[in-house]
Amino acid sequence: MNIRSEQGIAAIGVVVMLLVVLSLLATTLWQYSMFQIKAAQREKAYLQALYLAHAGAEAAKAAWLDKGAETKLEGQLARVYYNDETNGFQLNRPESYLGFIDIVIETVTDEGEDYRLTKIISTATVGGVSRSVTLTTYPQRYGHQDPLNLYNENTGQISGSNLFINEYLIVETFSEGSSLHFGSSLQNQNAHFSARAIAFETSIDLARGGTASWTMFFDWVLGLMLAKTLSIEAEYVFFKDIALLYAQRNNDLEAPQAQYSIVLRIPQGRGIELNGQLYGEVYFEGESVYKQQFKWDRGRGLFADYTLSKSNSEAEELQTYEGVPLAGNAFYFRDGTDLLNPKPGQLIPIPEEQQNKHDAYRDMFIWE
Amino acid sequence: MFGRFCSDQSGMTLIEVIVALVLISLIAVAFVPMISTSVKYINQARERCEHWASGRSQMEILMAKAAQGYAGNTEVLFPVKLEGSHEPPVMIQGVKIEVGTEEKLVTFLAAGDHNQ
Repeated sequence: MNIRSEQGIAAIGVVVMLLVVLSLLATTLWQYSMFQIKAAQREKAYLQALYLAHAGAEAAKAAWLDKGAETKLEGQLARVYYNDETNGFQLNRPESYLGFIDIVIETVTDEGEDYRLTKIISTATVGGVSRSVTLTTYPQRYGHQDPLNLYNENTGQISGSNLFINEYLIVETFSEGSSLHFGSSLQNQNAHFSARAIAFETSIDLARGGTASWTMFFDWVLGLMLAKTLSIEAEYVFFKDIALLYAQRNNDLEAPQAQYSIVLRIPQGRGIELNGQLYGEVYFEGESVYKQQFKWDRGRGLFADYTLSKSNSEAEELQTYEGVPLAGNAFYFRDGTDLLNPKPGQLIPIPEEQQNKHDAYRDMFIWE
Repeated sequence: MFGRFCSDQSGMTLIEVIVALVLISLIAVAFVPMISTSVKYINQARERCEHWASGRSQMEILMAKAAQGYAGNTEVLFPVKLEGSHEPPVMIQGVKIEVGTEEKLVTFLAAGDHNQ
């Protein structure tokens, strides 16, 4: 076959086509294999980063839950490395590490501002591959906002009651020095806060509003008691400082016994069973839980002014019936526990090693 | 030209066919290492993907077990501290969950979230 013949030229064409086809096939296969190798490497780094990010989010969640309401972590956290040699997590950059984790905790308030969310965004980087995971809380409702309107957010005066909300309720006032209290009227009052878990981020001083009001005494001479009760219905309750009011009956002034108290209740169908009874958990995280003794004063005249004012006697720290101080401790509480007059077995101390505030929030965080 | 080539009835000699086959084989052989390496890499990549998929499922099982109180994971501390803070870090107690040896998957579960 002569190469210059028509057959020869055609044969060269066939060979060239074969070369082109083979080289295309080989190149494509090569590129594909390289892509697969890189994908496998990325998959490895991606998974390693994913689980490190998960670790960071878990730790940040635990730290957030462990802190009291006023000191909850928020902002950028220091970078944490996973040391390859010691197989541990550390803040200082080690010589050899698998990857590092950056965590941000932020609070997001929605546009309507009727609830807030906390987000934990954990980003881990392994070999140049980053992966983020986000933990978000369920809505945390403020008690002063619509539709609850349980109290005035500036003065702290209790104004309403609510039905059970299956959410985490935050009771917070925003004026410096304000605390949650009843109005000054000397008339019976009941308020009912009801939620799955309730956290008081402000102190409670039920008689803070004073009692410089007046009323006719017809009810009182019948022997009735002046009672203002804040009923807290929740499976988990977190308190700061608490001040309750107590005044003895004054027969000389025809003034009744008075008490401003807090009663703890358990939502229906909830609670922990202990010794055949249902209990909730209450944490007194403030420095004081006391009752302040008040005394009656009465003006002259037929329609006399009655006032309650602080007596000179010292405030009395509240205790369980068994004598355990409430402040700084955690208790299982039985339905109907009146903090002014706890009955035997109504408040059972929770040993420190069994105190687990995480339970209150167990289902509160969700992975996005 | 191709038309005339195709319509030509004369054909090729045996030697021409053999030479052509040898040439084609030589050309093909030149590409064999590249192709075989590619195939090897693809197989390796597939195996690694399967390995990580298996690692991931093991990890999920261990995490679920740890959450239910399964003992057998290493207890570790995880330092948490605000950036720029001079306070000492809060050391969160928990367990380390690990799969693999050299190329490992590692995560952490805080003590409050499991029953150990």
